[in-house]
Amino acid sequence: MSSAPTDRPFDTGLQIERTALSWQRTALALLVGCLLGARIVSRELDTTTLAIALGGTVLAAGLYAAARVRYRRRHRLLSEHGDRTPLGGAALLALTAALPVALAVIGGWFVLTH
Amino acid sequence: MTSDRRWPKRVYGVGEEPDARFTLANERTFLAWVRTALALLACGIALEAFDLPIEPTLRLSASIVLLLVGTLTPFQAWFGWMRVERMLRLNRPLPSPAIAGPVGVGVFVAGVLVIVGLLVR
Repeated sequence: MSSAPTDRPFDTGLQIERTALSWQRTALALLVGCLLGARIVSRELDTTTLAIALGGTVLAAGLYAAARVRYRRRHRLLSEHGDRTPLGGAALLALTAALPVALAVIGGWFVLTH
Repeated sequence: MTSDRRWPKRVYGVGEEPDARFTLANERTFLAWVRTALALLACGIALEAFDLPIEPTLRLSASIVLLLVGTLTPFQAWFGWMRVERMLRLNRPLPSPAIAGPVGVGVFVAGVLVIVGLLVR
């Protein structure tokens, strides 16, 4: 019995899977950066520390979840419709690019007032 | 010409859908730039956060250089992604990353500042 198209990787080069892993690495880097930043910015467990740590955790978790949804959707689309299928818009990319900019503002505030 | 309704229109409003493998590779490049930005920002903040034996003015200068470069890098990530995706859709030669040179120069300058700061302390 042959397997359904979605049971196999769309591409033998595992492009979708590698992209999903890249999103996961980015989410992990964001999480680690925010947790370390929270620890560095304030030596005490105050509001600022909690805000940075919790905010970073939520953002990283959201990015990870969105990446998983993105992977499953793309795998299904490409498996069913071929390699010229539209893969969706770029709103998630724009949001992801904005995160380091926001961190740069916080980091700049810390460096200049430290 | 596609009547694509995806955002941004500047990208999806031109050309034809490229091979998904190229789009996925472009996306991975975008994410690599984002991670580079995070690393640069972390280094810039760490220079000032820890009590390092570096001359204070040079240390602060290196930190600011890294923060500036780390701030510019996400713009390269986003606008670079847009430019490449447009060129893929139009089947034209791909552009080179505009900010790769400045990032390299910035990291080099920050490194020199740190080394000099360590030596003169």
